[in-house]
Amino acid sequence: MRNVFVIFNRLDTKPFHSLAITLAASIASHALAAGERLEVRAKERTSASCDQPTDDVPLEIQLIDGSQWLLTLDDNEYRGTYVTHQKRKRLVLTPDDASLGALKSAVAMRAARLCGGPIPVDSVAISRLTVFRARGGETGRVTLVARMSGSRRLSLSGTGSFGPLPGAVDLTTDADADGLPDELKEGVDDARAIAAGGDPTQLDESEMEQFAAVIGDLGNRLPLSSRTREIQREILALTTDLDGVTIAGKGRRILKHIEDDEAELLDDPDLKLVMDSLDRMLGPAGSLGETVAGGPAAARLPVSTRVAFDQLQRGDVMLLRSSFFYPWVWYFSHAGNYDGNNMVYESLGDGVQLKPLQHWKERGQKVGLGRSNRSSTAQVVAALDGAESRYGTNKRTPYNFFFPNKGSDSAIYCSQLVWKIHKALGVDLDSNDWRWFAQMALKNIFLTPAGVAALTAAVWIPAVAPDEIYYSPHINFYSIGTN
Amino acid sequence: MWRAVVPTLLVAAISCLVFSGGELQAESCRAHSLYVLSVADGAGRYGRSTLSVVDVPSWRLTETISLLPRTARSLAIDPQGRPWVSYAGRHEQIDDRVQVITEAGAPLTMLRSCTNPEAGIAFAAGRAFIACVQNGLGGRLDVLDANTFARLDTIPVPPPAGGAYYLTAVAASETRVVLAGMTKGPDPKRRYAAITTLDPARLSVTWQSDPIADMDVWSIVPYGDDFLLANVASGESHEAQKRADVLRLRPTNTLDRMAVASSPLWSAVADDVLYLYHNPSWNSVSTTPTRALSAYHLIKRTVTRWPLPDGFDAGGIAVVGNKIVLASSAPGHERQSGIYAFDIRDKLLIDPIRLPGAEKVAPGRL
Repeated sequence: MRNVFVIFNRLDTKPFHSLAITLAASIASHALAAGERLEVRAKERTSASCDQPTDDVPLEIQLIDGSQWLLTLDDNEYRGTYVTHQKRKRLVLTPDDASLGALKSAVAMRAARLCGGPIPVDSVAISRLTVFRARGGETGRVTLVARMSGSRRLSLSGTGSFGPLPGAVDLTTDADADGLPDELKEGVDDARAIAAGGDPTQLDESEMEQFAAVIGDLGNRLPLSSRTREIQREILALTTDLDGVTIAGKGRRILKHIEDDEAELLDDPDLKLVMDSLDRMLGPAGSLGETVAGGPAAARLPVSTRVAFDQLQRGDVMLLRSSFFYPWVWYFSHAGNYDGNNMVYESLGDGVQLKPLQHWKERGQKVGLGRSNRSSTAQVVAALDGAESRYGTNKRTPYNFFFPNKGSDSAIYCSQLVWKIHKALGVDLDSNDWRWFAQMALKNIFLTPAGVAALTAAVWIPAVAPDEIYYSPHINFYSIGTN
Repeated sequence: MWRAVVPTLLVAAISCLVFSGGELQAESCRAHSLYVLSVADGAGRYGRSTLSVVDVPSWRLTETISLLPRTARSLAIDPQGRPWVSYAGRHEQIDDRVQVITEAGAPLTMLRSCTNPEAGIAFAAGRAFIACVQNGLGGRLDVLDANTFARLDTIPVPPPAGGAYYLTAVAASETRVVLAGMTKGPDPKRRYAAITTLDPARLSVTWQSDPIADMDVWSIVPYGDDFLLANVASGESHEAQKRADVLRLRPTNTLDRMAVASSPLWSAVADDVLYLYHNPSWNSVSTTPTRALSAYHLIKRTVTRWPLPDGFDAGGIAVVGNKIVLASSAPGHERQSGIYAFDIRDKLLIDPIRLPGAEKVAPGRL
């Protein structure tokens, strides 16, 4: 991992930029309904000269990922790619070469049975194969239309409900009645087992590929609504838009859009269940008013119902969980440094600045207070003074909207500022803790394992999130509570 | 960040409390209405501000209008009775908007001001003075014609010797505009504030104090030729003989220290009585839940104190008739967000008008 760190530090931001663009292209190519199954009982209709069948035909479409589909008809499977049209409500499916021939044969056989006489396969043309999403998004219609010689025509069309793909994570079974879906817990345990090799608290380079595969598979199989999937993809696209933003106003507008999207994610009860469960399994102890027995966080962190602001010393790390969410945020959304005189040194959307302590005491906010266990208070204060001298307290250093660029000195985001102060003392607070990555990935990322791996490279080493600081073994969080 | 911007002339006009025989008594006149600024809508969704009107005689909500879907930070009533609302967002947000509402409760205009106008708005000499945090190193005061809303000037407010200057309160009279703000000082365990005055006609800074230790002012009210500054940091004073619960800024810019009760946060003046809401944990490392109200007779120098329930956090204060009105979105254990009134005669909190996110309150015209 150390080698990787050196490599990333040598790089300019451009490689990350390129990587982000690649990632964005991948995200954008994902269509609306990836990861879903639509099962219908289709009505079969033919030309007037043929018999009209009376039985419904079972037909199933699986939208496997951002572009691949699988059609099951008469126990046969056909595959191909799809694109979206008309405000992402209609998917146009194109069979691949092998499936096209097989599908034509199937149509010719059906038509021959109903119309009498053989139908030449090469006279069959698939003129339409579409999936239409109805208003509301939970139901859809599959239409297959084929034309044949002699102006004959055969169509199959039916409406059904979208559902998860086979193999979706079962969020309903909780055999041990601990309030956590068993299959989700197993998935997290699989990821934990991978991370346990090497340094057990963080992802080592050798673990990353396997870890990403497990998390990516788990994320892909979560039975989330199509709207949730759409929002997740939009959030990632917006996050990519933040790449290279130099105009603060534009960056803030994008962040506001992301914030609205993040809030809407919680409308999906299944995602909310996943997030709450992950909070309980991996988040700060007591975050939901209870201690997770045996959890690593519980073992390390005292839990207080009220935030112990009276223990604050200059240089202490402060973390905040507010209503604001960023794609790379799981639990804590903001970080700052207590600067004494009842002020906090922090970076916000309009730059690096001092803010009153009162902003951190607003009702309902969750706050964590921590102190370095690697450096003395005097050392941290000296580093804090150095940072104030270098970056100012008057917003002269702008906010860094490009997350995977923690090495930047010309623009700085909140947790980057905290990280830099302690990095100046030789203490790296970027824990790269597997729990943060797992939580963050499962909240927002619906990608193939390859996509997760690419994302990992973009944010794992070159970025530092408030949650990563929370998981750092170099900070003792002496108080976590709710105002 | 919260501050009470109390239009003192209006308060004086509608407040009919008098001291008689050492007791506070109410006279017959009352304001017809109170404006209440909430940072949540009726469904309790925060970040969607609303402005409500309370009919004082019947003590009922008569109207609630939706404001911007952002967190409003201050409420002030201009001499024409129009509410002005400034926006500064929540912690991570930035804003520069000021909304003016008609006295009848209809949106009148949206103004763009300096950055984060969260220190409040004051009115004098036909002008509106909008106090902005700006970059935190120094503040800014936008001066508008209160009738045409035309911007007359933007005045930079320089930091004192301590460096940072985070504006927290503003008030104005015909002769002075007074600003208070947090600043830095040598002892990181103490709070420091500095006072700045400006000439409202010439629109220039006329005086600025050095950083004053154990001082933190979020509410200023004019009183005659003076200004009264509530010092919420007084409870942490390291020097008992210099403790100042309220500072009285004289026309010569000297500061008289007044002992009332520790840690006053919000203030209002009516008939020579200074009413104070006390919260020693405001902007403090202290987490003590003690809250209180007090009344200080500015001529007789008598003090009356009333304890409030523990943890009763109020965002603003107004005085109407025999009631001290508090807006509170977080009134403590098992109490609902709303508009509370403390009856001075009965020494009781009367049943609140429930209003999610209630934060600021200001009396309308008679």
